[in-house]
Order: sequence, then structure tokens, then C-alpha cells
Amino acid sequence: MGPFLRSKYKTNRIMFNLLIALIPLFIFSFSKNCFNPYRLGLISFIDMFDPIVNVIIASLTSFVIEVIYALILRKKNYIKNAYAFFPGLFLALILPLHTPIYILVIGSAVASISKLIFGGFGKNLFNPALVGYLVIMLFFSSILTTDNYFNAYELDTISKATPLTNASMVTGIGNYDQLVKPYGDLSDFFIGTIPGSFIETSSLLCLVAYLFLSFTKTIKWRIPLIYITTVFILTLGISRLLGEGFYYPLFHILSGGLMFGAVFMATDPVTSAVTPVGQILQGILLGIITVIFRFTGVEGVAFSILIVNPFVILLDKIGVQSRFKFIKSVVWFLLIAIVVMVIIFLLASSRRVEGNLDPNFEVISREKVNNQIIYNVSQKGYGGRIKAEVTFENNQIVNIEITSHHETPNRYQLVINEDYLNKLISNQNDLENLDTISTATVTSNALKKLVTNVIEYEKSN
Amino acid sequence: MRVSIPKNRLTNEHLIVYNKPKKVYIPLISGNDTNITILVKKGEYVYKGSIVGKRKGDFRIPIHSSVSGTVLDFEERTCSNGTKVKCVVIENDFKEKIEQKLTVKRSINKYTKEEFIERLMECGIIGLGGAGFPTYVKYEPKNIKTLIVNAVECEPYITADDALAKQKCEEILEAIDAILEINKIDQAIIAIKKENTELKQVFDNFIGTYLKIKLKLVPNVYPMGWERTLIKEVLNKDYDKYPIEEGIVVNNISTIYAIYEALKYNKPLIERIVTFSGENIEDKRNVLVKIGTDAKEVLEQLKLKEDSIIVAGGPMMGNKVDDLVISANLNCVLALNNNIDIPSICLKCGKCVEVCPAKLSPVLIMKTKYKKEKDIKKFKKLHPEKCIECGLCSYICPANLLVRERVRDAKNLVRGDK
Repeated sequence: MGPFLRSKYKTNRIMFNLLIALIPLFIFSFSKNCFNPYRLGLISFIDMFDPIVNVIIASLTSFVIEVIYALILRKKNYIKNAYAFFPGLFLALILPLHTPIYILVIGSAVASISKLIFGGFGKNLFNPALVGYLVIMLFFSSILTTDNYFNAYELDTISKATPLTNASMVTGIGNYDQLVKPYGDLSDFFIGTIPGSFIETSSLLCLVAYLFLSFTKTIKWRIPLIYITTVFILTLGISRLLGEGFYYPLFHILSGGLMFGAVFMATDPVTSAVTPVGQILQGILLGIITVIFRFTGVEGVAFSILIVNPFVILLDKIGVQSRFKFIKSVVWFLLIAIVVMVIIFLLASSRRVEGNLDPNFEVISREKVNNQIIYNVSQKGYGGRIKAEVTFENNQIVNIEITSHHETPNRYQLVINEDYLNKLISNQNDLENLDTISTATVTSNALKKLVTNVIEYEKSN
Repeated sequence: MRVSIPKNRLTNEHLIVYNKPKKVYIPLISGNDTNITILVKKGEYVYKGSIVGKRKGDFRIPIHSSVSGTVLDFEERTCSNGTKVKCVVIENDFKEKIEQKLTVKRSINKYTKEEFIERLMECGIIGLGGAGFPTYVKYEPKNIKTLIVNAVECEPYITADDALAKQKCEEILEAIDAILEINKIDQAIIAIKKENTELKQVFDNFIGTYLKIKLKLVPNVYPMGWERTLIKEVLNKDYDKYPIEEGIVVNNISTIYAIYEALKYNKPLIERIVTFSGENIEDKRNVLVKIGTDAKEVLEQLKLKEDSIIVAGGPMMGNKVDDLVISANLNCVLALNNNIDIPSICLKCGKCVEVCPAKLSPVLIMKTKYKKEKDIKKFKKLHPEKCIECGLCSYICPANLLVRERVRDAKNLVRGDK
């Protein structure tokens, strides 16, 4: 029956617009991660096409899984309307660049199966690509060590750790020099030349995609806007509390998978809220959870989205009510949200670094031997605590010896090769101007802090 | 999100008259109420304007014959709402005989409020915009402050009001003026779509002498003509159930002209203008037809193509019908190609929620399943009873789903439970 007039805007167009929006991001990521390294002779011609191969294989895997499903259940017309290759496609884009093919295939298969368990397209409760991502992270994270995240181009120029991995290592909430400086400045974050998984780094192009998808009415525009705004406001509040600059909230919204996840994953129509107010609440919830994740040292965009997915039904219930009784329906949610935000601020302020006390630093023993003072200290490094023996003579460090550590071996080797320990000794009165080793930022930074802290400790005694 | 749908106006705006039906089938329906007392017998001679039936219950609205002739039979015929309705079949003797003439006043603003209301009731004036609500009921309250004349006609294709208003502009303004005076209403606002510049010009030529009547241009969005949307747009007012709570009466512009004819000539509601359009009609026209005319006769005269589906009403709110008689609240008949978009799968894009003028969440109503008695509570929380069946949810649906039908089912379910 009627109406006998229908809008020309069909599902196909929604899916097509999504693909269009990915193109600039893909071209940028390809040139950053593949073409440039090839041009610089860092990877071979064949290796350059890795991401394209990944995308094709992952998409095909997803497609094949759904074809098999349709064949088994004899749903003849299912495939036509199922957009079966999307889970694999998105999974390939958000995984580290050099993910082994078999992991990719398993992930794509899991992604599609997670969709089919609920009855296929339009019925799944969780974002399929992110379910695949979660399973890979749970079972294969040991294989996907951080080394695999990055590419030859980045290896040669800047730090190997992503900004967020780096951020989770710092003392307190960190400062500009620790968070941003190793990667250039915030414009590098915005443009996307920082390390990260294949497609996520360019905030600029994610923004372009967001505008395109919103104006063509392809995505639920409220979700990314509110999501990112919530993260911004929370991190801004935290930075105010702890006396950090305006760079801090910007650092948070520009790094990791936040932009890409907010625009492309949180708005997945099937698993996001349908009511306008539901979408706003979803954005707020996502923002809060992501910030919590970030302060426990995990990049939580993917997990935040998955956690919120099953609650979307509840948020929509509020959304339905809000269209008739606005205040009554949203008041509880907002109260709870505000309480949670206050708790976050309280917890964050407990991360304040008082004076020179560094919670990651520990004095194990202090011994006086003749005219020397020998310290046994430890400092949190990349893989655990770095223990060292530091010897003072006439208030000057004369020797540093690492007694144990759990750093990545080749990274540690770089520190040794650079003779960094001796550099620390010779620059001990001017440590602030001593550069860290760019290819082993975390380890060298930890050592630098260890020395700084032990000097402070000795002075105060 | 506001939706603008292309109007698809007629290319030939010349009105034609179809007033020689051999038989008429006067539908015994008023609004959606078929609870009608039949007042004629088989074989009885009726005049043009004779009362053939009267609505039972609170609104004692009469139904008139549109021709003079003999009552042949009673037959079931499909009416504008898509259901079969009992009709009085009258054979036209083409004499157009009128039974008696009630007194009419020389000037139409000389009626008292009581006379005015009685006249509207006797002439069977009902809302011609679609719902068919008895007009006199709207004027019974004493505290009316504003009359909004609805000339929006927001649904695509339909230009019946437009055609009438252009032709009878002076009469309509005269009638509005009389209504204001009789009912002591402060002001009248004629709402016209922004894109309908021609109609605005026609009114601009005459409106200068009427100080209490204003024109208001409203956006080209659908469903702008819905009472609630219109009042919100024109006066920025909300109401709970009926506009009169805010002292507002809304009348369709065609209804205003029917009021004019009732006051001026004591003419009951026996004819109206209907838009005949759609790609399967060669000569698309606005036609003045007698109520009770078989739509097929008119369609054939306008050269209907084969394999058409016939829609009673506009493309958005209309119903597909096999046969059709013209009733007072029918403003459009469409003949369309028989190609229906194949439904695919709902992807929860939320567009139906964004567009719903009644603030419903159609997708969630559609996803709610009715399996046992208890489930009705789930439906009630979604308020499907507020649906006005404007069809926007189905129009916007990228998966071609029959969203409106599912919401309507839920609406009937919830209403049936009360």
C-alpha cells in the first residue's frame, strides 16, 4: 500500500556514500604508510600493496561467510540486501598495517558470524567489525606486538609508540613535552602523520568525511559530534584541574581512533540509537567510557562502542519518552552522567604530581660506602620496572648500572648503542636539555626520569 | 528534519466540469462514521439537495442528494478511505430540480451565530480537507480568537483547493469576513505555501479592503497542512487535543467556499473540485464533480491508460482502490503505474523518527512484536495512537518498507484496547 511516492534516497546510496567518504582517508593512509616508505626505499614494491590486499581479502572473507549462510538457510534474496563485505572491509582498515593474513581472515569471519548469529543484516546487536577487532585483540595480541602497528616510514623518523601508548607511560597525566613533542606538534596530529593503525590517524580527513556524511544525511550526525565534544569537555576539565594547557584536550580528541571510530563506527546505523535524544545520550556515554579507558591506559574507542551497543535499546526508550515528556525522561540519565563525570574529575585530580614526587619512582635502598652514596632505585619503564644502581660522589653521579629491566630487547639495545647512560651522567646538571632517543622514547625517557628523580632525592637529603 | 516533496502541479490548470452522471452513488458516510439513518426508500423520487440520510449520534449532519431523480437501490461502493460503504443509488433525470428554497439573507454577514451554525448543519458542511469533521461543531464555542484558513494543500499533486481559491477569491474573502463578524473572531490568517506565488498574488489583489484578514506564507514542507503543524508555524502555539483550547479554528479554504454557498444560496454540500492526476491519465485536470459520481466515468473521459492503479486521495495519504465514488472529503484521484518498490531490510537509519511530525518513533513501533496480550503495553509506550498517517515515514524509508502500515496496525491495536 501507500504512500505511492517514495524518496529516491535508498539504502544503496547510504552504503555508497560511506565508501566515498573512505576514499580520501584511504589515499592519505596509503601514501603515508605505503607509498612514501617505498619512495624512500624502506619497503619493496610488492609490500607497498599490503593494505589493498588486506582490504580485499578481509572483504571477500566476510562476503563468502554470508554467502554460505544464505545458501545453508536458502535465503535467496538475502545477499542482495546484506552489504556482506562491510564488516571485513572496516576490520582491515582499523587493524595494524602488518597484521598476518590468517589473523585477518579469522577476524573477518568472526565479524561476519557475529552479525549472522543475530539474524544477519539489520538485526545484529554489536558492531561486527569491532567484534572481529575485539576477538583479535583478545587472542592474538601477543602476535600483534606494537612493532606491527607501524611501518618502515615511521620507524625511520619518529617514535615507534603511538601517542596513546606513550601517554599511558608518563607520570601523572603527562605534559606537552612528553605527549606531543615526540611527534612534532598538534598540527601533525591533526593532519595525521603520527603513528597509528592504518586508517585512523588523519583527524582532518575524518572531519571532512564527517561533514560529507552529515550533509548527505548518511550518518546519524549527532553521535560523533556529542561523542567528541564529551571527550573534549572531560579532558579539558582534567587539564584545568591539573594545570595543563589547552593542548591537552586537543591531544585527546586528535589521537588514537577517536575521530575515525566516532564518525564511522559509532554511527553504524544498525547498532546505534534511532531517536535523536537516544543518539545524544549515546554520544555522552561513549565519551565518558572512552575517557575512563584512556586513563586506565587502554585505547578504548572500539571497546567503548561495543560496550554501549547493547544499551542502545535502553537509550532509545529514553529517546521515545523524551519526545513527549522531555525533562522527566532524561533527568536520570543526565544526573548519573554528571555524577560519573565528577568522579572522573576527582580520580584525575588524584593523579596530580605533587612537587617532585614521582609515583613511578622508588628508592629501594641508600647506602653510604666511604665517600660514595649508592642508591638502589627503580622507575616504571615500558615493560615494567627498570632497576638501577646509581653511585654518587661529591653530590655528582659517577656511575649508573642497570640491574634489571623488562624493556623490548632491541629498543634497550638502541639505548646501549647510543651510550645513553653515559650521556645522562655527563649531562646530569642539565638534564632538561638532553634529548630522548627518538626510536626508543619510552625507555630512554624512563631512564632520564630515573636519574632526575634520584638527583632530586639526593638533594633533599 | 523537515521534508520538502516536489509538488508536481497540473500542466493544464483549466478547470472542467463533469455534471452529467447517469447515476450517482451517494455514500452514506460522514467523516469516517457510517452509522447513518437512511431517510429514503427504493423507488422514491428525490430532488437535488434532498436529504437522503442523517448521521446518528452527537453530530446530526445530513447527507444530500446531488441530482434529482429516482432512488434505484442501495449498493456497496468503495469510498475515499478505501473501505466499502453503503451508497444510495439515484438515477439522474437531468432536471436538476430543487425541492424548496429556504430564505437567504441579502448580505451573508447578517446571520446571527445561531442561524449560522444551524445553516452549516442543515447544509451538511464538513471539512473538505480530508478528515470530514462537521464544520458547525468548530464554531459552537464562544471564545474563538483566530480563524486560520488552510490553503496550504501540502500533499503533492493535489491542486483542488488551489484551483477553487484562484477562481473564487472574492467570494472566499467575503465569507471569511462574514464568519469573523458573525462569530466575533478577532482575526483570520490565510496560510499559503511559499512556493505558491500565483495564489498569493490573486489574494494580494483583493485583500486590501479586509483589515482583519492577513496572508501568511508557510514553508514548502510536508505535512504543513496538518492542523498541529500549521498552528505551530502560523501562531507558534501548541495544544493538547483540539485547537479551540487556544481559541483557534482551522478551516480548509474549500470549506470556507462551501460555507459561502450555504449562506448565500442555501446550497448543501453536493459537489466539489477533485484533482485527477498521475502518470497514467493523459488529460490531467481539476474537475468539478457531483458527490456520488463514479470516479471511473471521469477517469475514462480524461483518457485513463490501461494497467493503472487507482489511488483515492493524494500520493502520500491516499488508498489504493478498485472502484471509487466521489465523497465530500475526497480531494484527489490518481492513476499511477503499477510498479511498487521492493522492500529490503530495515537498517535502523532513524530517518522515519527524524521526519515524523507526530514525534513518533516508527522504526521502534515496527520492531515491536505483538505475540500476547501483555505486549500491548509495549505498544502503548510508543504512542502509535498519535499517528496521523501522513506517510512520511514510508516516503523517507531507504529500504522501501511499509512503515506507515505497521504504525497504523499498532494504532488500531492500541485504540481497540481502549
